[in-house]
Amino acid sequence: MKILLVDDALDMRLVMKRTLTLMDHQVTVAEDGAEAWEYLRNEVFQAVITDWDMPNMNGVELCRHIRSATFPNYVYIILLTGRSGKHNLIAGMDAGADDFATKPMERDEMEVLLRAAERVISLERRLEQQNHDLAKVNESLEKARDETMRDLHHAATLQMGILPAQKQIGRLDFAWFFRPAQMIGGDTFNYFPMNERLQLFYTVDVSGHGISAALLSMYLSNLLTSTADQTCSQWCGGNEASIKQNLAKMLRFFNEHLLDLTDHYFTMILGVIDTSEHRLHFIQAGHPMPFLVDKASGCVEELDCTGFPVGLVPDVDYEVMSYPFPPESRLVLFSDGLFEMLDNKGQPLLNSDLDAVLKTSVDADATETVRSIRNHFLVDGYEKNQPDDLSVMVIDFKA
Amino acid sequence: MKLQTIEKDEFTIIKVEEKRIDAVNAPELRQKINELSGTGQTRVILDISNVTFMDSSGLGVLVSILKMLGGSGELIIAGANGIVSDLFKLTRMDRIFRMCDDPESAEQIMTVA
Repeated sequence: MKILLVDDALDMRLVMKRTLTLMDHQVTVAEDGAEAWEYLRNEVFQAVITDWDMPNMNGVELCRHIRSATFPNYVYIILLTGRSGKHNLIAGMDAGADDFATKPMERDEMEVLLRAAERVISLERRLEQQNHDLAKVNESLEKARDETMRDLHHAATLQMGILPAQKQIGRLDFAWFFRPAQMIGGDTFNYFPMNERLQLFYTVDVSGHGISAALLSMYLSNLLTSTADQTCSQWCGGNEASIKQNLAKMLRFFNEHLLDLTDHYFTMILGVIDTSEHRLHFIQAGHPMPFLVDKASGCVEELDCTGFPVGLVPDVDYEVMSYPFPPESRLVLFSDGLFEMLDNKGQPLLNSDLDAVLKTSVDADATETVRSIRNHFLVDGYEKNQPDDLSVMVIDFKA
Repeated sequence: MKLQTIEKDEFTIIKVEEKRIDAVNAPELRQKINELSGTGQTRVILDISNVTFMDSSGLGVLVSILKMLGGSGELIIAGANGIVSDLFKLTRMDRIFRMCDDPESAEQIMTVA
């Protein structure tokens, strides 16, 4: 070991240095605490054997200096006392001494003390190595986490990017709001014209949330668009019966397809607004019941309808609901995450809350109405506590 | 998930002692019923009268339990109430599952059958 020996008595220094050297240790000597501290600042020592009473800096002060400094290794300290025994050993320990010995020391005694020191130093060294390894693992974990977060940010941007940008198609006004519970979510929605007369729309909520739900919602969005594209010719000039048939056929196809594909399922509303006949046709597949607002009379109605979710049970039929949808009508679609939100008293928000917001928003446009719903359901201070994905879509048929 | 299991001669009652069945705890319920069906007990009454909330993952797990018990088994959902009962109706799962208002009437059905 590399040992720093500190004593103001020359004879003690000489005797102990000789003994320690004979024991194969590398010994540096200092006359007092101040000189020892100078050595310690410039060289690495495994152990310090220091006298208690010395001029300039005594042994206890030296202990404190060593313990308050940052050394690359643990420095083991043996504090030496005279025969008088008047020293306070507890104070010495508090200052950072590891062991004590009475001067003069026999060689055997020195050997025992230094072997104990070696044991502690090697344990300390192992601990340091483990800490170092742990720090490295932590660093790589943090790196992996940062990469995942960056990926999720990109995925979230992408997911927002596929949501419809156009706010007006013919006489129909659209507005929506989407906020996933995590960075990406299992809700999605879209709307596009099938022809000059028929406007298709859908809103989807994949069971669960997070990455797999988000991937499935992206896949569904793609599948719905391409299915609608492929069947476009069947819709053109179709009467009400064929529109309903097409909708039910799409849902049956999705249901069987999903059952084969994944354990996830989804709820949805898939519908068509017939802007010539002023009719609304839709399938409710386990999604929350939509609201229909007559802006002319101010009447707000929750459309009482039920239906099987998609991809949950095989061989089910989907029922198409039809309602008059004259100009001045408003359709409000949303996911069930809305009713997992809390108000400013911590109470769950209900259907009646949405009903009330819609009643006060009768004269507002679609964008303003979505903003009101958002403000009501994302209460300051509670908005972070969002257990499920949230999506709201409002469709207005202008006069 | 806290579950209370009552073994009867011809069937088992599993009472969910939780307020929620959701993505976090529903897999445990499936695991428990999987273990039961492994011992040959495929006639189960699932008492959810204490449950006040169920999310879509919870519903998905109940359907997978129904599929797991399959043709050989029997599952009765008992005591669904409030928004849990509304969820069964909204998704028409009340037509897929055999449902009873309370565990007592479910027991009568299991005993007679």
